[in-house]
Amino acid sequence: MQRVDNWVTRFEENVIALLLAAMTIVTFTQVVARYGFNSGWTGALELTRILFAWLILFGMSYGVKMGTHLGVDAIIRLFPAPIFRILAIFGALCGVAYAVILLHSDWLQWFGISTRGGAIDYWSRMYRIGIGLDDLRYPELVQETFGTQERVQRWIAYLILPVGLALFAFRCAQAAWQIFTGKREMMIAAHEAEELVAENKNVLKD
Amino acid sequence: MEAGVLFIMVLGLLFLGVPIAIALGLSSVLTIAFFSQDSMSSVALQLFTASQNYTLLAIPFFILASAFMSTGGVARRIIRFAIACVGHLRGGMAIAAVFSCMLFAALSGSSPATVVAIGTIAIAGMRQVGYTKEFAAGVIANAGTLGILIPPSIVMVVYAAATDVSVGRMFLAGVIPGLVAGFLLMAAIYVNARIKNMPKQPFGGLGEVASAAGEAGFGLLLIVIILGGIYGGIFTPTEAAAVAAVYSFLIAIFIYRDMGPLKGVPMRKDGEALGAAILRNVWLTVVYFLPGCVHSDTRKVLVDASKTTVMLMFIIVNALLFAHTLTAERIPQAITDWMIGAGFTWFTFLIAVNILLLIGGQFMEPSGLLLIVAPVVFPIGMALGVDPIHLGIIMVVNMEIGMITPPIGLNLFVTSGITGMSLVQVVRAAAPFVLILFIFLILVTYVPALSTWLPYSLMGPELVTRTG
Amino acid sequence: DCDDGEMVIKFSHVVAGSGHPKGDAATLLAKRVNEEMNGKACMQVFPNSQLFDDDKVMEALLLGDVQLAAPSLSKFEAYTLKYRLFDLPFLFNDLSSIDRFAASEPGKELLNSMTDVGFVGLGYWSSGMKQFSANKPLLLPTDAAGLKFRIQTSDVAEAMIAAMGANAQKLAFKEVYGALQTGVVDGQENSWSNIYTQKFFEVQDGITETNHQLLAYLLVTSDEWLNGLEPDVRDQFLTIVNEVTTSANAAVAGQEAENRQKILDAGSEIRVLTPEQRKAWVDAMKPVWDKFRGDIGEDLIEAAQAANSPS
Ligand code: NA
Ligand code: NA
Repeated sequence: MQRVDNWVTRFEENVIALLLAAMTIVTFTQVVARYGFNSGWTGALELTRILFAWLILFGMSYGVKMGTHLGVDAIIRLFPAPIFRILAIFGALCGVAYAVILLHSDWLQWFGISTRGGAIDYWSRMYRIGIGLDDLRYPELVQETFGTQERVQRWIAYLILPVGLALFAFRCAQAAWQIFTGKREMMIAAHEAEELVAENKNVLKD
Repeated sequence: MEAGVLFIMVLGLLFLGVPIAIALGLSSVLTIAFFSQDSMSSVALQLFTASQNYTLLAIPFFILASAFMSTGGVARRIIRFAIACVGHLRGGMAIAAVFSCMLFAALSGSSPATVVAIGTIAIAGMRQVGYTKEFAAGVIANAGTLGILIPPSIVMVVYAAATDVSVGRMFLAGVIPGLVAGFLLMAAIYVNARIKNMPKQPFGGLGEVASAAGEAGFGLLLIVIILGGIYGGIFTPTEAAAVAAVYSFLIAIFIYRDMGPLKGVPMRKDGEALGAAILRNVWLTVVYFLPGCVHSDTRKVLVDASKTTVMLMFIIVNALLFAHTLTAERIPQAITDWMIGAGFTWFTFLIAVNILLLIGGQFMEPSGLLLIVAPVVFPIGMALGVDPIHLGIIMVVNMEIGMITPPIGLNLFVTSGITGMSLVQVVRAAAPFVLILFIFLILVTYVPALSTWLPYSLMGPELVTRTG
Repeated sequence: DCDDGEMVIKFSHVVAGSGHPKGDAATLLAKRVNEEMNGKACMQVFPNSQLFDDDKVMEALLLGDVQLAAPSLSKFEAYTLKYRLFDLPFLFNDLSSIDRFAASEPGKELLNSMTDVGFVGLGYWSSGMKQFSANKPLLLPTDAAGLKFRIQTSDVAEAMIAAMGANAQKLAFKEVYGALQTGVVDGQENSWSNIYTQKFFEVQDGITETNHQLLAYLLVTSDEWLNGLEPDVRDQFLTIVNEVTTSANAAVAGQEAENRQKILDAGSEIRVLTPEQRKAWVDAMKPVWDKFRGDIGEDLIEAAQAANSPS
């Protein structure tokens, strides 16, 4: 089980690292193309922005798993341990609620709340209509070989929205369970440099 | 009513230990569900839109550049250069520490990174020559805040994204205030050092200055690339950030070699002829180029930078969702009308902004806070005739002060973490210098020219109107 | 604020609420709807991209969270290639042509050509004729050779820039001034009002009065929403829309002339093309027309050209 988990972590890390590397390389080559070859690729900016969204929306669940999402722990730490644990579970469940409502909110109507739709509805509408992105097109070779439309469909770019939210809900639920069973203290990091400090913990201590 | 519920919900969730991003996101989602006719599908649409914001695209690149530049060797080289320049003054080591923070701030967009990179070396160095640990920690915690004032700065990018002002002008606007804040800190140390007769270092000679500058030069060239590139018209701020990331990678792997496949391989071996050394290094660079790209050290930097990006961006994206909810419910407009009706002038308005941000800075991550406050404060500021760039610099300086004031201050945590001092000790150590930053805040608030003169003389005025 | 029982009509656009032809037209439309349809409908205008940018607003229309938008005409080639018509350089001679084209049968049909995707056009809102400017005098298309131009990207616009032997660059609108000043790009194309309000003239070597293209927007809504309205409500709404479109378009010419004069007053040079020079531009653009003729359809091109002369 531990081995599978390590493998999954490595996979997640490789994905976010590759997304960041790809964004950097695409943007950098645009600058080179402009000055070195006086040319450019119109789709580059849109591709970079989609990769950026993928990085955030895929990475957010990884952040839950690694406990990097920031929060304020000063106040809940004032409470006795059992209440602290309940609040920590509450924090994780808020994450589940956030992702589940965003995924699909029609079920809130049972409680008399008038709302509808969500990421799944948004994605499936785009899938049905099949409209293309602004600038990003299939290479002509792909268009000819596979007979695709000219522009890359929006639903392909937006796929990460339902997928990322579902992963996020799963990781938050997992965190709630881990806190409940005592395997984890809480879901949040108290400040953004926690890891940086951990790596340099007390390097200057007497 | 909706505004009240929204703000109370965010604060309530925040204090119950819910992650900042989720406190913002869930409040927005619930507000839309309960009070608005909008569908949740359009909130999902907003989430994706926020995640691909063009202006914010510079953030991951600056984080990546900073991650490559934080891998040890760069900070050491910068400190050597700073000591060579100012170490011989009375209080020289401490002045050099501030100077190092200023230089590192010009490579990095974040304050804690500056504190860790410079602090771990400079605090030890100051102690060796006889400063107390408290004094050294106080100096670094404060000077480290310059990370977000001296360009590049992640917080400035966030402000630009929230208010639609230009990143380039914001960066330029930070230069003079950054220098002034640095010199104020250095002057305070110098005066203090003269009174207390603090130690000074022997002057290493111009040779040492030149040699140290040569070594640090590859790192410091990044400042030239970023600022020169933007103002020289070579690229946009986002492109500048990407170029900075690639440049930092090349420097870290192939020049400084503190990491990667060439780690420990000298640029010039003992007794090697210059020509032979150049040939060998070119050869090494070619042969090890691909291995350098896929080396485990490179992967680690990429993973770390992506993690930091995700952590920051998840907050930012949800803060944008929150800001969008405010706008869709027309809340900023209502607050603007009320404040103008209440007779605020630009002078009293800026005091209110300072107080609001100083309090908010205690609980919120700076970029998240900025994104919530800016949509409300910016239109009021514009209506009262405050300059958009000036307002941005005021906000950044407030964020700086928030980082070194209790109860919650990022630089306090980081300094306490690396020194092993308690939070209370760090707070006490930093306090005298915080006073200087407060004086600096008043200066920046009521002397707009400090912020606006440089960007406007180089790039022309910021236009608030927009057309398609 | 809207009363209970009123149908809410949200109009999201990307320019300022006033001082820009589109912003003014949207404000006027809201004023009339709120006065004349009081009790039935209530229009809220969200200017300055407060809600959505031009790209995402189309999706928001389909989701039913926004009812009106007015993106630039060149945005619509993503849904039907026929909209490439408006990007053809030197198609319309002046601002008045668009109203005549809109009144023609092909012009009306074009408004309804995107119902398969779910959009309906309600009217063409013009904003001005586009002029070229660069950091050197442009009198002939060959003067532009080798320069980098910021354009609102579309395939046709790129082909147009290529036909001049120049390079097209995509840039966010707010980056343009800085990019022109520092030389990231050498030139741009825009209406007199945009050139004046964005101060582009300050950082260019004069403006060439090419009138090469119509800068216009399509007032658009969703098919689903429009057809869901009660017939009498829909008729009243469409009547107001048509009247506002006509009066807004009529006001644009005056604003454009005013801003053109302000650029002159600011000491910038405006170069007027001689008939021979203009012919050189038109000739240079022939390959562009030929390339996209098939996508657009001959009937539309003919209708547009016929709109150039008052009937
Ligand atoms: Na910085
Ligand atoms: Na603080």
